Amino acid sequence: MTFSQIALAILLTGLQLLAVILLAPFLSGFRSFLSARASGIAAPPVLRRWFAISRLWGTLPPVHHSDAPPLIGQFLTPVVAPFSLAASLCAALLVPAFSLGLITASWSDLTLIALLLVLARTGCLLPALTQPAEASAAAFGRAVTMALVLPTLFLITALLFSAGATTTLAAVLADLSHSNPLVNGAPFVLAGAALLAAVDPAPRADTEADGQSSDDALLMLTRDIVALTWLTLAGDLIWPGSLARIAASPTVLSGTGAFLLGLVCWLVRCFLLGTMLAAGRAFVIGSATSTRLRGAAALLLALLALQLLTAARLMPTETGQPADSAEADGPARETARP
Amino acid sequence: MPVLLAGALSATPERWIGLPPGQQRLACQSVWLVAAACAFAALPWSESHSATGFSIPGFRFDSAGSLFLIVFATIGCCAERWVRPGGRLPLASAAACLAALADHPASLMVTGSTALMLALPGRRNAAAGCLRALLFAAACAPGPLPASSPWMAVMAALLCATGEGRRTPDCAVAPLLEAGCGVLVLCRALLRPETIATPGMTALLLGGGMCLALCRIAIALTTPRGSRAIAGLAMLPVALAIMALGLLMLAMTEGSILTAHAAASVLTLDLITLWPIAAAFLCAGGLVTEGAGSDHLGRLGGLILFAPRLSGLLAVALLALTLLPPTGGFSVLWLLVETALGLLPDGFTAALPSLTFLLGLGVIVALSGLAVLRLTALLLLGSARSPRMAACPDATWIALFPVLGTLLFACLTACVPGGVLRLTTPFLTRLTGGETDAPRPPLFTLVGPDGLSSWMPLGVTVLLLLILLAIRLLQEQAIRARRSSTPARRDILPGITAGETVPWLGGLPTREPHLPFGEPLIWSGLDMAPSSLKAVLFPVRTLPFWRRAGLRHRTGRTLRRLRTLIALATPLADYGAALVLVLAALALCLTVLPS
Repeated sequence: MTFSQIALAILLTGLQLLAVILLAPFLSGFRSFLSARASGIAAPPVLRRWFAISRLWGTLPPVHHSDAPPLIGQFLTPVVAPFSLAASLCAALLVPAFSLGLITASWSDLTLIALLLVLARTGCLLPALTQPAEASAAAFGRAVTMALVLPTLFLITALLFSAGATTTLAAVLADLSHSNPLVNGAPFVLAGAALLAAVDPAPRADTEADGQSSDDALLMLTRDIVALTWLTLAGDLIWPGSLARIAASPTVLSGTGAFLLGLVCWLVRCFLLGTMLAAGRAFVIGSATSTRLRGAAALLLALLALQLLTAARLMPTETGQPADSAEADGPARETARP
Repeated sequence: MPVLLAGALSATPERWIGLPPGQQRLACQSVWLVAAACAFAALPWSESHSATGFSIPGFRFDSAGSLFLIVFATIGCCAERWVRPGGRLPLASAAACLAALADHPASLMVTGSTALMLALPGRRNAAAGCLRALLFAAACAPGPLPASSPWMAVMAALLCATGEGRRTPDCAVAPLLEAGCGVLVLCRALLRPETIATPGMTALLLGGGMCLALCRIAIALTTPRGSRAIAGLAMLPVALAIMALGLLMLAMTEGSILTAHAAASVLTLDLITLWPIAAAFLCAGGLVTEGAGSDHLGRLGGLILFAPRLSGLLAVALLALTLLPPTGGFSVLWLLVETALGLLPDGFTAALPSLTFLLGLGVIVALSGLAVLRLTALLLLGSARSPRMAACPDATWIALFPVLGTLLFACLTACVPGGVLRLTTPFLTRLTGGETDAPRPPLFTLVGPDGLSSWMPLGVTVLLLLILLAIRLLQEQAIRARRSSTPARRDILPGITAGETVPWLGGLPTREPHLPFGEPLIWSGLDMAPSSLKAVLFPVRTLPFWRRAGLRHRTGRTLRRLRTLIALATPLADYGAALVLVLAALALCLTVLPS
């Protein structure tokens, strides 16, 4: 890589970081708004989440006028909250949001991204486990939901490997950018839909009043970034063609245009997927049923995607002969596999 | 030599040497760590006999031996107790170290069986321990049928990995030692030139490893006993090692040398980076049990309040065992997934076993995460659920030295997985049966068998730490700006000291700065983890037919009656036996008479 390419990659990574931090609370507020509307209750303002985080960001932690040692919650949250936010930001930097060619492209392994997001979400749940029984049971219920969806991610990794002979997300997405979502890109549309099961429901408006300190703002931001990263990942798999290739643009002007187009496409697909998820609130189902449905739907969609991918090799080509599996895998697989 | 020295130091009474109390134990732990470091440093030269100069009949210093020497030396370090001298587990570790270096089947059998017999559990589970020792000896024996030995080794490895957690803190690391002996004999059996890997054996290893991991984690999720839960989680690296050996055999059968090399790398990384963490975790769990005075998870809790040092190290080990990034456990998991993907056949039907394996790995990761959350909630968080737990003392740094040293060793090796693989090249070459075309691995990066996927633990860790530092700085800056702009809040209750009588408490004195029974909150019970899972996985609450028919109660009642009947008949048993003998003698006489 030349110096200009490295500088461009660093610039793009920084811009993506900024965009993710700015968009995550906004998207979360949007989802809360739509969810409340779908379930027929008073909807909070879209920007409420943003204001809650910015109000709490510089808030001092409450001073306890007591000689007693600090409680576990006060001890744990300052340790866990920055760590969770760092893990979620790290994962968000590894997923290409609106353009390819990030500086972190070679590290964007799908297993790594998925488990970093799981780590961040688990970190968010830890302070809730120090709460009384009702809150801790609810937190453990969310952990169970995450655990039910997690095995499916390994199947999606297998799908990615079958398509690109590697589990590096950026490389596979670069190969998939010209695929038709209704023909050879259909398995990835299903995989993206399976990934939507990993997105937590939008936070309720009344939970935003629970925050007391700056660390609570970090936890809220972490939850929003995790949800946005899952949505971005799903959107990448569903519509890989929307990712801009700025490094391949011949002029600065066309590069800027590609960047803006990629940004708009990212916003559109995130808000569309967020709307789809929020519409799920219209179905009145219990939390256990919802957990079951999410786990089962993710598993079935991933299996169907794998079956579709392998069935595509048997589809007749233009000459009427069945496609060879080695050809369908691409040249990279032939050279890389022993 | 350090192993022999550590064993001798451990067995020698303190009054013979004259060191101050505890110093001899510290010396033992240091020597164990030195032994592990020496074996690690000697790995590249382990196959050249002239360089090592180690020549005892029946023993030889080779690459496999030095690798297992690291494992058993770290186990020996964690087996040494600061508070109490001696104990049979350090001796068992010394015997296991000798077994690692054993070259002849007879020497392997004697030393390994000695280690297993020294690590034998209490009377109640002694039969299982004896069976493990017997199977180990049978797996070492050459026997008339050469093909039967690998099967025996597979069975021995699987059975040795089922060792239960010990209640006594002295024997906390014993399950890992037993499992290490099992994996050692399996590796030795695979390294024999006459061993032929069959599909059945491969399937047994892969399925057995998977079932073992699932069963141990299920136990960790449901048991009320702390030692069983801790041992269940600590056996996860053992199951991963067995699965890696299964994948190695599968890759060798398919003739894929690069994938076989990756599977051997999984085993190596697992032994060097994850097994020491499991040993440290077991050791820290033993310290918790000892400090809290109970093995029941329902009586523990709030360890962070009472023992911050011990709980900090326990939390680090727990984090590594969740197999989440950026720990060494994730490196092992990532390479295992890449190896399984490297063996993925074309076609959906043909790929179903591989997909099932990957799904099983996902289930293992998910369930181990839930088990870790459960242990964290019950052990570290919450409040003390018994007065004895509230008086749990924190361990001193000297007592925590083995845990700290072992964790440090594991963390350092986890940062340079490529370097570890470079050092263990002789072992990898020997395990895969010859030179591979794999390029020399980079120092800080793991590369998958496809050659395109890679994972760099140190890079991601540094990125994580940089982001963490930036967040902390921004947060501090925002808080400082807010503090300077807003006046300080008035102190509402100034100068209330402990023990002072205040009017709004009805004349009661304020509490001391101890919270013996924790915060006045209702803490979640033991059954939260299994009941949450059950509520999701088993939606219909229809009782099975045997519960509806009350079969369990009926069977139990019948068994109780039978036992009472047998107990009543015991005094008559002697008379009955005498009668039977007399009748037998009469019958013999009658048969002799006609002749």
